Amino acid sequence: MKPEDRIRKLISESSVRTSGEADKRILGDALEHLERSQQERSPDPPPNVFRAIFNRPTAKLAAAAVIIIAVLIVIHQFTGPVYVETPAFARMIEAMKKIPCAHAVLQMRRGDHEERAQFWYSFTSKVEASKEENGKLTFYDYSRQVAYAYDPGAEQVTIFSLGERKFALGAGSPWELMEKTVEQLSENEGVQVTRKSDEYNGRNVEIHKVRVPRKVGIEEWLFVADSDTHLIMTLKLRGYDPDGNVMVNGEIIFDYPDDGPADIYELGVPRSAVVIDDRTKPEAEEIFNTYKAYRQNAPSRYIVVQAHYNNIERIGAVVIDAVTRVYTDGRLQRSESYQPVDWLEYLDNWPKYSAQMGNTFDSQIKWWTQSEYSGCRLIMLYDNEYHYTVTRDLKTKRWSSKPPQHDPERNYRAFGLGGWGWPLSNLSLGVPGEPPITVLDNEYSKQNKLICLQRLWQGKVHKDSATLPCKRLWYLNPQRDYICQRFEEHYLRNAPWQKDKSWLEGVDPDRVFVEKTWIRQVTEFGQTDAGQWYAKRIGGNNAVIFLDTDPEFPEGIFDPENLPK
Amino acid sequence: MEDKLLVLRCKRGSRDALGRIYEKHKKDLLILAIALLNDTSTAEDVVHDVFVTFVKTVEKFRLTGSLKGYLLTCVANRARNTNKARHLQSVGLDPAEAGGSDSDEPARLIICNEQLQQLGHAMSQLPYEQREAILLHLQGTKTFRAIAKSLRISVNTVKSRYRYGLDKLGSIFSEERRNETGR
Repeated sequence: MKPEDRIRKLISESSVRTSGEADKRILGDALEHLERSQQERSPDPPPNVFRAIFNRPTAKLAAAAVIIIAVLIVIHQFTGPVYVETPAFARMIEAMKKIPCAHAVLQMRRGDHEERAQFWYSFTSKVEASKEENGKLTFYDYSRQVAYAYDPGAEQVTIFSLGERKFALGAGSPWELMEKTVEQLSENEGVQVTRKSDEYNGRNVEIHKVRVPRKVGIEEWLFVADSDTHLIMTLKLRGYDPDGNVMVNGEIIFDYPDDGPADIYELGVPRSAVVIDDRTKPEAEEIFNTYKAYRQNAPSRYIVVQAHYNNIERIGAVVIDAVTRVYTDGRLQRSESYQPVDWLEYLDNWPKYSAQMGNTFDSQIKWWTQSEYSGCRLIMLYDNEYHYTVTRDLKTKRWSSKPPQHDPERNYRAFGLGGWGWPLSNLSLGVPGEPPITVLDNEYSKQNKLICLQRLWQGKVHKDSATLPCKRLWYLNPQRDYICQRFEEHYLRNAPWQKDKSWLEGVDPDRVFVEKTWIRQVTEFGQTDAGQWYAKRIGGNNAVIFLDTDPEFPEGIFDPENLPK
Repeated sequence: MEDKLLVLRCKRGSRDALGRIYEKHKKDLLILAIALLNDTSTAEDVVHDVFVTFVKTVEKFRLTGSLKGYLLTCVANRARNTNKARHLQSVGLDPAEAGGSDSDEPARLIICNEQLQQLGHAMSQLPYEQREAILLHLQGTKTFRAIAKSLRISVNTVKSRYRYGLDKLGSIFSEERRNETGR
């Protein structure tokens, strides 16, 4: 077949399926612009900038700590040399320390979209509660370690375990919480703070304006405190893109009742609502806690190198097709991926390159990181606040970077061993909306003396796609520090655990994601000098892992300024 | 005619019309972007930006040819700029990222079938200009003259890029065949 015909054939047979999430991302901003252009007929800010700035917890109503965090960011600005020793600041600290409960009403406007919600933080009864405009309610009772979520669409209350979640981020008072956040927000260059006395709603107030430069754009916080009580009355937030266009306009109004709501019904849930208990069973919780204790003991400072193998039939050899090196120091991580410069040439001359690499870890890593025939084509860096990605074209040797992703909570998975069973990062309890973990006693776990934890997701129909029901199984090895020895992920169309059997009725089959199964298994274990087990060889991904738990990091290795440009 | 009506409704602020345009053309636009850039994430950004720009200019937009052709040209232009800015080429999936997802929720992504992956891989081995000429001609069904006009280069240059690209693809495919048969 002629190349022209072959390309035509590939084009005609090419197909791409987008998830609902992808459609929402692509089309969402366009729809927003369409509406706005009809109403305002004014220039619009760049949509990607919008996403870059405000894809942050403070801009998400669903984040339970949004109010507190918003306040803390502002308060943090006052701990600088300008304010930290002023009498006004000291009085505010004292006033905030005595608050038993805070109630906040939040209004956030993004383009034409407006969100409203209420939040309660009761420091006396250890309760967090939220009420969204769409009727969704949450009630977290930390003294009883249980949480409730109400879905008005289904008229259903779900009870779930709190797990590792801590009241007000583990703080005992608003001020302690502020101090904790201040520690985290240690540096903010270029912040401008101004203060003036004024009147607000008939009260004498002090207004503090804080301008915080971000990676893209500027945030401006207007902080209004009562001059008599020294308590925060209101907080106004504005976000600007680099051209000065307002991207987000929000306001949080505070009051201070004696206590928060007593239960979720007091928030307005009808007594007739169906109650579903999704709490983790005690046996699963106990296993999880043991698992977690082992994970906490694992070193957090290490270098790991993963060599990825591939069986190439045409040359009759198993070759190393890529190498990944990950530096980890607590939450800081940097991952470097190396590949051959010319894959076909590499395969054709595999015996020569194999000989060059040698058989030792040191000789192989030296070849991959220093040889002219291989090169680093991807670096990912997490600096405790932003996630950076730079890629390189190995032929032209030119680097390019993607916009940094703000992710202070580190919601994506860790690089390196984080996703490879040591310590496993994708198993957690107490996440709202997550299905409960159950202990499964199946044939595989019995035969191999493993503990199997299972989590089942329901299939979901989105606007333009459908995600199949998903089952994940974690087989933990109690003889090896509860390491996850085998992980299975199954997406099934006709899953027996799918509650609504007619969930796919009327859904275009082309928009249903394909069934798939993915299994990975540790086939060889290693042990650190301190005795902790880790995955040494993993099947399914054909990876061999080399671990150094006493590393010397190159200087500035976690500094984004040192990334190639 | 349907596209003209959809554009007209779009001008009047119809969300349904915009959604319909997206549904109708997203597959072709994504395929072109993925084939040009060999990176689904960047391709998604390109298509996203094309739709946002389309909405921003729809008020003054006049459809003189096919809407699909117009949007494909926009994707090609945006992809070219992206490519220039980022020098993205032939960036495959990181082996460390391949395989199962470790996120807390089951993955929801853009899924390419085998043929599209092959297409993206084959194209990634060509210089960008040659990819562009081949894909605009074969997928966008644009004449060499139209491509030359949109790229502001001569027709002969477009033809040369097209021919050289196909020659190189021919040798790549031959190489693959030799490898498959062990000869």
